[in-house]
Amino acid sequence: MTADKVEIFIGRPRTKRAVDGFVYTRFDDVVEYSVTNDMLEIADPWDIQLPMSLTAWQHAAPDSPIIIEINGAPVLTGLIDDSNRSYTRSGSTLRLSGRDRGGRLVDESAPLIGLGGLGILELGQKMAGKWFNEITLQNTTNRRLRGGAARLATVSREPAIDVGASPKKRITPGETRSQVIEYYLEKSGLVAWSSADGRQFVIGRPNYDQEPQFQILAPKPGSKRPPGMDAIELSHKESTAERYARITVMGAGAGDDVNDGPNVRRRFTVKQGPNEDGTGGSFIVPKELIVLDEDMRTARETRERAERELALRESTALDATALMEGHSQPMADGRAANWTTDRMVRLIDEEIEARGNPKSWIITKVVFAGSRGSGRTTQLTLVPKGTDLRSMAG
Amino acid sequence: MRPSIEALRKPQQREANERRGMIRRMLLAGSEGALSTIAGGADAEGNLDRETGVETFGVAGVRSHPAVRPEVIAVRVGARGAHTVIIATRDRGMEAAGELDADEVAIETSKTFVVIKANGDVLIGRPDGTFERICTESHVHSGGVLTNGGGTVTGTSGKAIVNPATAPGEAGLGGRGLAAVAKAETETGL
Repeated sequence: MTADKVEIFIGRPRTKRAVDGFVYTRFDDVVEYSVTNDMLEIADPWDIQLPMSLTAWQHAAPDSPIIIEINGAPVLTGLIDDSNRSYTRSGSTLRLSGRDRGGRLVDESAPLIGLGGLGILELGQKMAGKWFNEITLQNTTNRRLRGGAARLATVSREPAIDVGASPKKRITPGETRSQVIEYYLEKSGLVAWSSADGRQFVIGRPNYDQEPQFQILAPKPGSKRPPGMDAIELSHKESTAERYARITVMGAGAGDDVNDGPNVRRRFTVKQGPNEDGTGGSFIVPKELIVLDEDMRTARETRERAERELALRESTALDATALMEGHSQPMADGRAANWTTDRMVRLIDEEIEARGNPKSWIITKVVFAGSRGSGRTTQLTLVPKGTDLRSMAG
Repeated sequence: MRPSIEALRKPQQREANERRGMIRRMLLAGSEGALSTIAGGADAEGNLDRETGVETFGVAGVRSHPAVRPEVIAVRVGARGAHTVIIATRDRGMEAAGELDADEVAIETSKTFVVIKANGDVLIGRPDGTFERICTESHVHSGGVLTNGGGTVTGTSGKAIVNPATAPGEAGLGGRGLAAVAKAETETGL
């Protein structure tokens, strides 16, 4: 296991008048930390404890930019929300916390601009362009940044997404930028996240078109597989709790000069299984859901709304979490790569292998954590290849 | 008292914001066919809070097109998305009949009004106070119509003044129910 290195860099304005440039000071004496990269959340939180020093205190003013690096690769770029100095007789500490640059999208109210006819990239530009240099559909740069020096297999292409005119929406004064973005992402079947260096706001889908880069092993007693990829803990959950056998969406859409009354009433039913009541697939016993939606303009929108509801709920059918030692795993070239979201994993749970559980999973969330006392671990959240992930508005 | 972080964040949450924005008082900025454009204020950068393609719902069989300084109560059906309708309009510039008394109803534009008076008479009038009596209470009950009973409505000014207690309804339709009136007012000289 490699000795992972965690460093933070806190920025201060280059001069009193400079607004676009920062000088960063490095702090590598981290006492305790937790850093999250989550593909499904627009803002990723972090929390770091440093030994108290006047230098650190002077640098760590709230709203200062911060870069967190692991093994020399940036994993998060954000801003300090809270700076908390704590004194006890046993010693002083400085605890800093905040979110990546997506935090501003969660906090800030959206400008009251018209959204008619905007494509997803234009919408991203309008909502996130103030905080990111580039709005992109390519996660290539981000995967490379977070992975670090090790050579990871190149992903051939990003999944194609519809960038055409987005569904209609009106901004309510006070609605946040992220709420507007998430409304569109949910309708378009997309997710969005910020790049590790804070420069790009990526809109897209998980890339399932890649070979597994990492391996996670939960060996059964007497396993003949070589050690090294073992999880400290692995949890594997199958669920129907949030899923339904049959879902009916009903409601109405806005009328116009020629459409009103029955013409704007909408209804569509989707089934999980082949039987009339939706059983015969995952469900043995019927389970029905009715969803009221008063914003469905066309029959197509109604069908998509019902299918979206089903897909969102089906995405909770199967997931796994794994706790791994350290923050990286050795690759074929001998160098270690940091655990990274949007990367495929070969997951081998030897005790349940026989049931035909999926072996290819994608990492949707990574939590790097460590402290001087208890070492370094990485908590991974994974879903099977092909799972429909999309941001849930709100 | 110093608010907690949670108390400050709660109003920003999606559900809270949707609830606040579900029923709003806005201005009518224009209409085309059955659809209207409504507007609220502007943000710090001057972007106007504006919605287009908004349907109007009122009372079936009664329509109006406010012209002068119309206000609307707009409702976002389902609380989110783009399905906003106008459920009430008011145009103070169209209230030519002036102040109404208890048990009176007016249908008004900026130039003409029809008032059903408390005594049962029906008048058609103008903001300058001149009117014609269309029919009296006795004609209403006998089915007859009076067409040449012109005169001046004493006590009714040409100013568009309406009792503030009048609830917004359909623009051009003034009215005040008996139950809403605390005291009877003087007859207007008919």
